[in-house]
This record gives sequence, structure tokens and C-alpha cells, in this order.
Amino acid sequence: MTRAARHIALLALLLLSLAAAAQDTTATRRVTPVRPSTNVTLRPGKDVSAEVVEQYITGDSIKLLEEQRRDSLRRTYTRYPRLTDLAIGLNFIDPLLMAFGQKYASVDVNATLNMWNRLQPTLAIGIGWARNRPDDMNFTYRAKPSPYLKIGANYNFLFKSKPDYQVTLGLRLGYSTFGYEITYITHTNSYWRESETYSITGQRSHALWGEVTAGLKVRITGPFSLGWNITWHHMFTCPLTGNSRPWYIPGYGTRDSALAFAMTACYTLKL
Amino acid sequence: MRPIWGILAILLAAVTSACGDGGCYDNGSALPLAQFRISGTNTKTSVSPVTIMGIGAPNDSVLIDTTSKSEFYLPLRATVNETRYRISFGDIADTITLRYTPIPRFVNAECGAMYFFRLQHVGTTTNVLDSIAIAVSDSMVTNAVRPSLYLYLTKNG
Repeated sequence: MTRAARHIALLALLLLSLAAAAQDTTATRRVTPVRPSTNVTLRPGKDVSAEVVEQYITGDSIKLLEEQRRDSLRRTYTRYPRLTDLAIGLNFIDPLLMAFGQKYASVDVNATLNMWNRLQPTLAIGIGWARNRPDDMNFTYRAKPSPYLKIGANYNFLFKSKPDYQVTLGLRLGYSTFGYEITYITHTNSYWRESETYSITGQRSHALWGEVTAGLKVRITGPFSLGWNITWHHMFTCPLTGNSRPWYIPGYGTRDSALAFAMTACYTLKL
Repeated sequence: MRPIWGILAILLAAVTSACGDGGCYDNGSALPLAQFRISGTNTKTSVSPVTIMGIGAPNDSVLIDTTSKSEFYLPLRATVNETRYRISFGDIADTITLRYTPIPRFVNAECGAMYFFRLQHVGTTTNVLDSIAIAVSDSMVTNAVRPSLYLYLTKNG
């Protein structure tokens, strides 16, 4: 055999080997992924579509893995309708705290529309009042029951999960117009030895404020759930009127407080 | 969930920066702070000795009796519209007269309620004092720690 003939024979052998290898890769492959530590077979994720699971069982598992990779880029969670539910709530924490010494209360009824289980416009209407005679001070502050209104929206960070559990962050705009009076003011001048009691009555003011609120909502049973909110608020306007600066603002709390806490019992209507 | 922690951190920072609004950092009542000044140069000065007493005060009680004083509080009567004080500089004395309107005011829960006084007229005799002036632009005596009256002395007085 000449040298050239040997080269041709080697080349032919090489081509045949490559052809055989190519034929092997087009065959159906079965690769069952297992966890090495436990030898447990790994199954597709819970959100993987039924078609992909079927392919996992009967088809090409290598191709399936590629499909799963592509599938993981797509949204596989449940998509909720635009009008998911409507929650009617009662914020009742302040009357409870009054039993433990708090000197003011705000109670409101709120309605929250859950859209796509993600965006939640909300409206609250309530009443607030106060009565306070601080220790070692010379006055009694009384805020007559006055209305307030809050409007805003929440964003539910657990939009991929069931609406039974929600972690939200929200914005609110609040407004109240209210009346109050300061009574039993005692004035004592030790040098002139004068003493007098007087009142500042008929005071009226209004307030506009903004809130950032973080909340947690948990279904208790059936359509009933409980919500907890912590709120940071900032006063936009609350003018000094007449002879005083309001100490308590319905729906806001005390004028100088930066934080508020709310606890809400909710009834949810599926839409 | 990570954005939540970022937002909560911002909230916490905002809350801590918003704290500290409470508390009464001013006086618990509205008292005019009077300050001795040198006429012409308008600079603060001390006077010694000085004795101050309210005219008509119970038992002729003395408000201030000290060797040296540059400023002092003068409590005003809330039940009438005028208060007079006698200021003695050794053997010589002057009388200052303050006319005002008491205004009930609720400041806040920490400082409480008190009378503010809108000064309408201030006057003095001129034995040692040269003149008296209202030091606040709105003529209002509040619980803020600031001079409300200037008592001017002549340069060689």
C-alpha cells in the first residue's frame, strides 16, 4: 500500500467515526437528574406547566432541561384578575389602647380594592377624638369627635402568592377638619400672687398630611383577616388658628408624632 | 423582597430625623426679658448695684436685688393691662410702665397654656435710664427665650 493510499484509508476511517458519533447524538437520551447526597430524583418545579412535566416523563430529558431553562425566564405564577377582591376593614387599635392609658383615638372604616393581587387603591373614612390632662401641666385638651379621610394605594410584594397573605407598602393622603378646646387652664403668678382659671374654646383647624405605610395582612378564617400597619407620616399643612396650635389631629395622631400603628379586621369579598 | 428592606431603611432614617419635635425648649410662661443697653452704641451692658420691685406688689416684695445684672425677667400681671416696676440704681431710681393686652395661648402639650402679652406702650422716667424700647418686631411677649425690652442707659450713666 502506497503512502497516499494509507492516508486516504485513515481519512475514511475518521469520517466514519464522526458519522457514527453524530448518529448517537440524534437518538433519544434519558438522563435522570438525582441529588448526589440523597440519590433522590429531582422533579420539575411546582410552577412548571403540565406539557413540560409530560415531556420530562416521556421525552428527551436533555431537551427538557433546556426547555426548563427557557421556561424559567417566563412568568409561571398565577395571574390574578384585574378585580381580584374587595376588603372592607375596621381599624380598631386606638380604642383598645385608650383602655391602657392612651388619651386619643381614631377609628376608621376602609375599603381596599385588590387589583391583579398587586395594586390596591384604598379609601378610609373615620372619626377621631381626644381628651387629655397631662400630669404636671395646667390644662385639659379636648378634641371633639371629628371626621377624617384618607386615600391612597398599596403595592403587594407577595403578588405571586395567594391573596390570603400580603406584605404591602403604601402611600396615603389624609385630610381632617376638626374642632377642639383647651379648658381648666390654671394661671399662677407667684410674684404678684395672682391665680386665675380660664379656657380657650371654639378652636377650629384643618390638616393635610402624607403617609408611607408598611403592612402585613393574614387570613384568619374564611373571608376574615387581620392586618397590621406601621405608618410614618408627615404634616403638609396644619395652620395655627386663633390662640392655639392643635395637639391632636383626627386620623394623624398627636401633632409631633412621626409614627402611628394600626390594626385592622377585614372582611374580603371575592370579585 | 429586597426592595422592602431598602425602603424600610429609608423610612427608619426619616423617622429618626423627624424625632425630637416634642419637648418644651422655651419658657413655661411668657415673661418679658429686659436687657440693659448703652444708648448710642446699642451694646449690652451690666449695671451694679440694681434693685427691682413691682409697684403694688404684695408686701412690697423685691424681685431682684443684686450687685450686677445685665438682663432680667419682669413678670406681668395677667388680670390687669398695666404693670409698673421701680428700678433702683443705688440711691437713684426710675419707674418703668408697661401697658399690654394679655392673650390666652395654648403653645403645645409640653409647654402648656399661658398668657402671651401684646405690648402697646412702654415708658420710663429718665433719672438714670435714657429710654426704653420694645425689642421684638411684633410687640408680642411670648415664652421664647429672647429679649423683649431694651433699657437704654446714657454712656456716662
